[in-house]
Amino acid sequence: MSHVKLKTMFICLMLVVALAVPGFAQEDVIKIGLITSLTGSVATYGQSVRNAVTMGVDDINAAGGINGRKISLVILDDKGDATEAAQAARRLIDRENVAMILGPVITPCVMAVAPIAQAAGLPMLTPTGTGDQITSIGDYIFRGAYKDSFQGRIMAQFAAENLGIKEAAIIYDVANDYSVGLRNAFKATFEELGGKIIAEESYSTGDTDFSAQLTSLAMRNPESLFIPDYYSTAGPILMQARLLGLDSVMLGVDGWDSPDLSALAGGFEEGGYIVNHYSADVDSEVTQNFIARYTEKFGQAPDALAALGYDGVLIMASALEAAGSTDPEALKHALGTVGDIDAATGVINMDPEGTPIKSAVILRITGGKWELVDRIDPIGR
Amino acid sequence: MNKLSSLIKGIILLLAYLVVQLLERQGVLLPYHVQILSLCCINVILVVSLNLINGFTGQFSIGHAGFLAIGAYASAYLTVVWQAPFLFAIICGGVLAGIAGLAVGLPALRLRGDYLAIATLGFGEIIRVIILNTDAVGGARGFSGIPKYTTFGLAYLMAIFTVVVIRNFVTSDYGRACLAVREDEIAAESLGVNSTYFKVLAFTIGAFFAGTAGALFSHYLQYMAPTPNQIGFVKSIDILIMLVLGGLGSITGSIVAAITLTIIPELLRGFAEYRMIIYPILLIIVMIYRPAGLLAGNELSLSGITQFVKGARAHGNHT
Repeated sequence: MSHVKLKTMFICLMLVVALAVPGFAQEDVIKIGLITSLTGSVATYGQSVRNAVTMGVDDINAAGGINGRKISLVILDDKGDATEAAQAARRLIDRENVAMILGPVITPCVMAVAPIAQAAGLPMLTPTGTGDQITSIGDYIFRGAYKDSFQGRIMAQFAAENLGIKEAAIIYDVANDYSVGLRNAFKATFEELGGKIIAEESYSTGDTDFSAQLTSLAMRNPESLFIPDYYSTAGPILMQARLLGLDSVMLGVDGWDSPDLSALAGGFEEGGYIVNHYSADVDSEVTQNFIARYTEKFGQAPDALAALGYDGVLIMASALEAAGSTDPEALKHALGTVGDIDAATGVINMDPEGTPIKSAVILRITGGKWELVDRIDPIGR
Repeated sequence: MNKLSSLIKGIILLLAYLVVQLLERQGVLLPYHVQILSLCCINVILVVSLNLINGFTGQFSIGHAGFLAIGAYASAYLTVVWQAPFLFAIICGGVLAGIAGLAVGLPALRLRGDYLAIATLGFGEIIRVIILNTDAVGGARGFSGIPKYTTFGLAYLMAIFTVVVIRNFVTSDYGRACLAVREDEIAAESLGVNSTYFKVLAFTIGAFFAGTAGALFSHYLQYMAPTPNQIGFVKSIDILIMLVLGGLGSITGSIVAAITLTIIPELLRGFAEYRMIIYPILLIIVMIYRPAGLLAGNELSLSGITQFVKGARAHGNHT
């Protein structure tokens, strides 16, 4: 091959490359990584989040993307396991070069991913992690839900002020961070508001017989009983409490929100109150629109996790829009400052601390259905 | 010949390390890959140390994650609260796990088979519940803010150290006694082997190494949660699966299985929900075709490989 031929080929090659590069730039997408639990013991949570996030991202892309750039979503499973979540995070950061991480879903996974994102200087937003300590890992860590302690405070506030309850008893899981955190917050606020905690009992994760603790509580006959746990435990406690003659007002948390609660509590959950992230009864356009489209698309009504997952996408989208680029610094700043986001769980205002300022709803179970009782705005943080 | 082969092995191990370092510097291996390699090394330590107990001494322990937990939390407490040097923390973690191994092993190893399995399972859960209720290490909240001290180099070195020590132990007089206990406890006793002593010895050494692996693990993940899949029975079973897949009583088998079973879930991550179907199917297939494990009690060795290659060549020449 002659030199001239080589030269021509080289020039041609350069031309092709030069032409191709802007071509790539026009197809520029914003890559977002989602870490969620598609397998393992909390798979239903993770699948709800996955469904809602994909729906949210499809909406954004259908509407033309963000500042003209489409979003491409990389979804990785973490099996609800902290080690796996950490691997997934490294993969998203190193191999997929994502602009931002959404997820993981449960607090232990978030706690394993957060130091990695913080060290890499990449913003992350967990739509659902409620553990208090999450956002203290660093300034790149954000969440879309409220903290456990906030939920406990809201319930105490509602019980003391709206229901006029003076005495409360608590039964909680000492082995579960979620339950312990809620109990601490509830107790502190309730006492602050002049209420009295007359009795406390505890158990460990996996226990199924609570009759000893409940008998002791029944003797004190408390006006109300706070049960900060997931539906799988709260259900049996409710049933056993009523069978032992406790007729207190039952107070619960977002963990009660499950279609299975009724079967586990044997109908005794009737009349109980819970704090939750959102209510299907809220007549905001965004909420109703979200519920209708989710139900149509996935054949089931969205749960609170789905709503939070969808809101996570909305927060991310407004932050990306406000930042105007995927520069981590700008994005971090935007995530901490965007506000007035009309989302499925209400109006969200982000805070540089990492936790949004948003209202909670109080639901009451009436005739087997969750009914909206009140919307409570936070007092302080 | 023996010295020469050790030298060759040493050079190969050193070269492997240098290649990883070089590729990392060149940007071919991303921190993501190096992180997986570190996890491989930690799992190698866990599986090889469990092999000493379950494979070579023939005891059935399913509480290995308990020792991992002791090492992980003790070392993390030392580096976070007392700002102790990491190496010191690793050794402390290992020694504490070893002491726990001794304390559990003395009464428990008088039991056999199923009973021992249940006793060790119980031990593992006790450790988890104690940690769950100890506020100094975060309790149910989990232990966060652990510094990232575990590097690939350190994990690699510890894995080699573990393999060398356990291999030398197994081929020593002590190891022979352990093998005798595994094959037939009564016959071994009648020949003057104090079976309880050797069982407890193997158990304690295994626990020590599991503790060092725990120390590496907590400073690798930077967060420990007292959940069953992190330090509870699910983790114990994971280690046991790796061991059985590699073959009981085969150190190289343990190494191969630990590395393979750490990497496969990573490769399958893209399959989302189907991942945890494909992974067990692979395990079932291996167990059907290799019921005694990948290496079934045999070892991979340099001379074995060279002979295999020569044999293949000779075979090729004949046909």
